[in-house]
Amino acid sequence: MTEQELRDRLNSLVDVIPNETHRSFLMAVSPRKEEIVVKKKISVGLIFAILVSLVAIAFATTELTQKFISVNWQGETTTEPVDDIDTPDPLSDPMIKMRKILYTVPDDVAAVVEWNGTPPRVSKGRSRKTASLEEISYDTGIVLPDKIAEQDSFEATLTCGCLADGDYELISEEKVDEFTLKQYTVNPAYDIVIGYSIGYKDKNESLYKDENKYWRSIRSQLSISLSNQFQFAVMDGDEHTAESVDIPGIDKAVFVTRGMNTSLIAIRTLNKPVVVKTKPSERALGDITEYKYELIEMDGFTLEECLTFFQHE
Amino acid sequence: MEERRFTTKMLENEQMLYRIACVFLRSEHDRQDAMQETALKAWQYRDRLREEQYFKTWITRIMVNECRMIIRKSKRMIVTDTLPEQMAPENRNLETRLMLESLPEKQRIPLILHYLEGFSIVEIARIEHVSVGIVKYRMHQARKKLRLEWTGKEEQ
Repeated sequence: MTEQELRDRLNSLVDVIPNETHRSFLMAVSPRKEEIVVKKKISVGLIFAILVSLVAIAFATTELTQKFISVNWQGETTTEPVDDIDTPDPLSDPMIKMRKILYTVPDDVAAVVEWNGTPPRVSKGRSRKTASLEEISYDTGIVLPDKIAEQDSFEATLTCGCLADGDYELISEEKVDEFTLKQYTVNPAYDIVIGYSIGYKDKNESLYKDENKYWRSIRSQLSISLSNQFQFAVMDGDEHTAESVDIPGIDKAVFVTRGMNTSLIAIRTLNKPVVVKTKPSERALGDITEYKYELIEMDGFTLEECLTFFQHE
Repeated sequence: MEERRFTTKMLENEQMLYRIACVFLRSEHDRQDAMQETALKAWQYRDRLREEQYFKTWITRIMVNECRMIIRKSKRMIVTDTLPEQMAPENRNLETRLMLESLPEKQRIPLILHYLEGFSIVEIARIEHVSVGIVKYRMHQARKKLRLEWTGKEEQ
């Protein structure tokens, strides 16, 4: 028997599939209605489970946004919970002065943050810090008088004391450099007096002593904050500094500091910087309960200056 | 595998499955059972098919196993509807069947799959879960036996 003959014989055994067999096979392989119902039930359950998961994720995300990374003056970052950062209660937590502002301008998106106080920076020349719009902390400080700021450099002695039952008590007195952060632990029941004396150098490196002392009472601030710790620093009142920061979603951003006023100029999509600043009248150190913001394009800076900040970072 | 896809693939292979059933099983009732059981088991165990490209060999294996089971069951029973055919050996198809049935099951299956449906040695090895060498050996043995039997019949 040849192979072809074997094939022919095998094929001769094959019949045309009868209708009855075909129908029974068709029924066996046709879609199963009962299982479809089960699948639908499973699908509804699955959708419900997904919805629950999404709600849980949203809740968790909301919780996470209550935390922010605080960048201190030494450039260290810490994560700590923040209570109600968007609507701070002046009576309960006036130290929170940071505002998150995200402005969306038609055809031009710019995210800008402004806060009243010293910037979360260390010093010039430090490596880049990573921050996001939600990760900017607040510190407080003292701005040198304008006449000092006109000089090239300065020396300052930062003094901290308290008034206990009418008697002045010195807590600390030490020389500080610009932007040196000093932290004091005090009894919040006392009136706290912070002050500094300064000397400055001119371009010839001659040191002149300014005999005037500058004092500021921060009693109200502490009594409101109910904090036994506060931080202070002295900074040049006029010099501009610009320090780049990496902000997710933002093409480029720099902290621009001029005295106590620090702005975050951020550029996204279009290279058009937009600066949000507090009104000058609301920038006083003790004025910590109300902050109104207005959007002023390149307020205080020309476009060329802004671009210069980016170029120099 | 998605249900519609499964149904489509099953219908694509319906004729092939029935042809195999025809060669293995004499009774139309058995063929129908084999077809139905194959479809049901394929659906039941469809998750075990990891790669769709092997659907044909996978479904063929199920069908062959069904045929095998039906044949084994029928051997334990008095199969009345086959007796008349056995009583009429002049029938050419019956002769072919008897020749095939004279082969051991292990040799018969690869022979049928290869010469009836054109399955390659590799595909048969996959269906039978044996090596290619074993398939080749079994087919060689099957051909040898058939040749001997055929030669003997011609001599008679």
